[in-house]
Amino acid sequence: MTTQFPVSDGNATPESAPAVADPNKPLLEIRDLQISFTTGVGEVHAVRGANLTVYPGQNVAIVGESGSGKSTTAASIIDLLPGTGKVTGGSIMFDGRELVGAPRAETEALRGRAIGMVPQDPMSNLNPVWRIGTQVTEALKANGFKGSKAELRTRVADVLAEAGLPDAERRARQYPHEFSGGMRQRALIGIGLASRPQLLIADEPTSALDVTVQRQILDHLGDMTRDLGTAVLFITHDLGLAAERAEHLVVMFKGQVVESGPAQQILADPQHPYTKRLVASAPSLASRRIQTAHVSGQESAELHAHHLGEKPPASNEAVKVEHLTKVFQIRGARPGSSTDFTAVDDVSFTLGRGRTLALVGESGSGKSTAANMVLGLLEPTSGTVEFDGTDVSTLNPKQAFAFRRRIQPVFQNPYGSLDPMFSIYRSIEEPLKLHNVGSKKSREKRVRELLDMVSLPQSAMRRFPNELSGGQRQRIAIARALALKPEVVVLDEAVSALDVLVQAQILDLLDELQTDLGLSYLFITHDLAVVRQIADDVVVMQNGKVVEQATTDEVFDNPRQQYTRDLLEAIPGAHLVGNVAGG
Amino acid sequence: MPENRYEPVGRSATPTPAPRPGQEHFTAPADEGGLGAVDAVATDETPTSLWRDAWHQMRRRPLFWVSGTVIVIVVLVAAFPGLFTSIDPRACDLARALEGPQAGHPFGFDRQGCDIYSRTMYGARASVVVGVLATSMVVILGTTIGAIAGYYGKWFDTILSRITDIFFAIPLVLGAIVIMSIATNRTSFLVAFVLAVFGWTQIARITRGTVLSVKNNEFVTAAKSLGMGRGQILVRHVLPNSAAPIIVYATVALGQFIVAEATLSFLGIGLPPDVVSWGGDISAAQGAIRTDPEILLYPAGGLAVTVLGFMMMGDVVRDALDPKARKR
Amino acid sequence: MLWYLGRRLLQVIPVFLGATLLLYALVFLRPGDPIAGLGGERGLPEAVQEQIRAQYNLDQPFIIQYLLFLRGVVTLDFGVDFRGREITEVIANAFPVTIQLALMALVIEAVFGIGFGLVAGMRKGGIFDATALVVSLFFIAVPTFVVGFVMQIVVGVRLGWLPVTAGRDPDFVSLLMPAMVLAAVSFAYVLRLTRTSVAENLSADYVRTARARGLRRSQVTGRHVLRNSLIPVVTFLGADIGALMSGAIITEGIFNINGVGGTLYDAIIRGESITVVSLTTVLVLVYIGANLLVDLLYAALDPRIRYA
Repeated sequence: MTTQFPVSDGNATPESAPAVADPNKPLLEIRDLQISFTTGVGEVHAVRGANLTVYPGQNVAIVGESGSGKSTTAASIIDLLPGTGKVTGGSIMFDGRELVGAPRAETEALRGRAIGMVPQDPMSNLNPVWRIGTQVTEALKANGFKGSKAELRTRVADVLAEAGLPDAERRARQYPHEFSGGMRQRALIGIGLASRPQLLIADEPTSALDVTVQRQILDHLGDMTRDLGTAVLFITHDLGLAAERAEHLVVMFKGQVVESGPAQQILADPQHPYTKRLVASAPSLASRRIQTAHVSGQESAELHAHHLGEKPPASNEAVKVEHLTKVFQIRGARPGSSTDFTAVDDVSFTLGRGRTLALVGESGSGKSTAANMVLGLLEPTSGTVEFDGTDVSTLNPKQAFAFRRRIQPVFQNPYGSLDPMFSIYRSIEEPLKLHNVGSKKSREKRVRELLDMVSLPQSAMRRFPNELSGGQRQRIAIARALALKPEVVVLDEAVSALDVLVQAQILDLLDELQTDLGLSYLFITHDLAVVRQIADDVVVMQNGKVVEQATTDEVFDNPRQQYTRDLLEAIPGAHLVGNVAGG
Repeated sequence: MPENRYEPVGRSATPTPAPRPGQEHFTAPADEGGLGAVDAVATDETPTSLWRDAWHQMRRRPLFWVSGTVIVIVVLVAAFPGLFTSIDPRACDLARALEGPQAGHPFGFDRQGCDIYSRTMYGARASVVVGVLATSMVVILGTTIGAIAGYYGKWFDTILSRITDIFFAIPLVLGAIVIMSIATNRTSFLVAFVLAVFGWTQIARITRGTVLSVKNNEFVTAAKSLGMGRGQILVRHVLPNSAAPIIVYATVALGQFIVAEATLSFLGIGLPPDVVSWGGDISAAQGAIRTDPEILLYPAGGLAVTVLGFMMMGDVVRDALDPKARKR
Repeated sequence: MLWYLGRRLLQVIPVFLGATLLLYALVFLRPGDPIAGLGGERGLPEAVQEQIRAQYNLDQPFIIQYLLFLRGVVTLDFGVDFRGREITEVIANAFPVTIQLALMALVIEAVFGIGFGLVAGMRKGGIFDATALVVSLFFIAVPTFVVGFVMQIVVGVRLGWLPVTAGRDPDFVSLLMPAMVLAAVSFAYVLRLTRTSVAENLSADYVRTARARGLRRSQVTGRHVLRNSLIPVVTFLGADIGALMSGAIITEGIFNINGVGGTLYDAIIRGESITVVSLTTVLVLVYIGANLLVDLLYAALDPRIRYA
């Protein structure tokens, strides 16, 4: 694969080549930017007084949670604010020109040619009805490519090859749905850089991809922009990723820049309370399991009857899975034809009582399928799931119903895991009612107790899910799962959809509950960084098979398989972590 | 939670260059932003369920009040036509045929010498009765079939979907015309029934699609993990969450059935002549269309306003129940 | 692709059999005798009734009757009607004008529906949009026959722009008004569908990305917004061919056109069950064919389902 990227596309004027720009003059300068949206309830100020400077060839990152205004700021640069969004004040200077209030034709001319963009979600950002090549052609033509048809075709293939797509000519004739997520993102990067812009806005360019793919693509993007001398403005929620890829960081919170400066300085010595919390919570930067306050001895242990901090031995098995296999039949295009797909292939693991076992893998690794079999939602093709020494498949219906009380799930999507028609009270009470637990009065008491347990006010029980935030809903989902006092909780990507700070809060909560209630967790995740914070043991899965299985410390300190090493290496900011003063 | 502290490794060999102009370390004053309020639950407002939310949205729309008023008036007229006119719609005097508007008879008289105002009022009942009956039947039939096909899947789905395809292959008005043309005892119930027989497929398809997507929600999986039975999950979780598109379609279907009934009556194969109906009156007015077109406009107007009322309500309800327009 | 086509064709067969059986059963299995009602007040002599019964296989068990009818459909030989005319010929005479009328209506609803829908969708919430919505609702709410009468009075009689009725062997101009009337309801649906679809696509991620690539607004509108919005609209239009043909029964009645609708109406009035079933069967065939066409169109328009 070529690593040389031609700076000129053959007929672009030399002036437009990024190399010529004065490296000491800011390429992009945002001053006191104000953006607001008009909604039914009035003006909402999405960005308030943001400042930002990018020099030619420099990598700058805006870091923030959802709703921080980071994407809005980026979109305003090329006048692509969604909906009713409007820049209401401040200035955006690009290469000496004011962009706020610039005529449409001028902005259109800048887009693609001077400022490229790589969007967030590769699945929805390519038009499904046009071939990849057509969409590249479009970008080239719109930005002044004037060669012959044959030259155009060659250039299109070059663009895709540069972005790291092998067999580019054939790929150009395919449709987006024939590409994997990583390939689409490569195509989008190729399109974003096709006309050699001076600035590339990369809005969460890899957050929808698996970690190993994410790393490859970011590396490639880094190589390309370095060789072309393109400045990159990263937009990301991941502090580790930002620190790793950019030399200058801008931290945003609720529409304001709370802190900005050299990446290493911010990481090593954050000043603003928000940045401090962010640095403290970023899972990719953490290196030790969360130790609850109880364990570190800050709270007196006599509050609890049983011995805290001393985990029961692993031989005490809550769930034991042996040779678990699930084969799905995939119907082929021709009638009657079908292929077998082994989603889970001879998987064995043991979840010790009172411990947390993480099942880690990328999409398609079979981790969720395995979890569903443990939950009894899916019949295994072969193999056994033993719960507390009993083979679950031998239970009669009545026993199976009773078994449900002892193992409960919490799912990923905080928006889909609560019935929107049910009030919070009904949602949490439902398991109790179904299993005929207590009277109406005692059930209400239990619901209040559970809300306390997940640190939500009791008044929340009259609310409906749409009135709560993602983190709050996830707390409710945990409360519902705990209603029946289960012994095992299956956490299927339970914190993956949450913002960093909320994620940290939920992880703390889970750890506290484990200590207080002696729960065992089966923690399904794609995110190794989180694993280090919560798990005692790790099972790494790939393509349905177990790749590596050991204690968390062993996996992180001394990974034995190449795939595990790849996964660890792919954690953004992994190599930034040096000595950590543990608790 | 322990505080993480970092000493960068790997890159530590290169000293950090001095920041360039505009990129110096900046920290905002700490008091702003309200960090503590990151995840607070609103405790002051009244809780809003989805339905209450929809209601709040709807009542802000003028269209809601316009269509609501129309529907209320039409239903009142249909239920108690005697409140709005004291004249018998069947008491006709040929001698007064085609007389224009006059005191006590604001719309004048039709070709048979009947009072047009009175007939327009009394005609509402036939339309509303057929529309409501047919819609109820369609909702019950279509929802049941669609929900079973979508929720239970497998061969239930295969068979029910094929049956739906078969009925879908016969256009509503065409099927109704064929059946009504050979019917001997034509009543409002029969007209509604025939319209329902050929009109339930759309709602079945909508229900099936919605149920298919709702049943993949994690709250359904959560209910399964509680050990809840399939039927119970369908009734408690899946159906209530599938209701919105069904309700929206039902209001539109109500309008369509009223039009279809009028079409049948217009063709003379809908309600029998002794039932006062707008379709029948339009048909009767047809003969005088070149000389006295206005006698046609009164029943047609009644019909249009009624259907428009239901259709507009459908629009408002759809906007209010649209999940994309919902907050958060 | 070929497998997809094959599978869809196979699925059509049970639907066709089911629909024809349903219609046939509804007409011939009803209480009462279709023959006894013939011949007006006095009725036909018993012998003649017997003869007719034999001729139309009405003396056979129901399922045999249906199978014989089906053989007729497949061989395009529907037999003769009660007046002795070849039904196949009746159908052949009736269809051309109805097809012309339906196609004209299709063009009208497509051009105006998509045009107005695009403008309304691009400026969702604006004055044009609000007006278009109310007008389209009006077209849906007012029955076809009322629209027909009003057009006749206003455009035909008062203004005298177009012929009031079409009559026998109508030309393009005299079919214009009937086609507009026939298109009215579907026009409203096409407009609303286009509007929703355009508004939805306008906020799609790939449209934003296309703009970020430097495409001009007109290019984005044409190549991305309109192209993608047309997928549901074209499928609606395809399915509407069948609906327009059966909907022509009202329009043809009003404008006195001797097409399928007129013939069907005639047969219904005369109680010629066999002609009614035959004509309806052909209409159902057209309807099923149109829906099949829609599926293929869909596959052609949306590459994602091409090999599904």
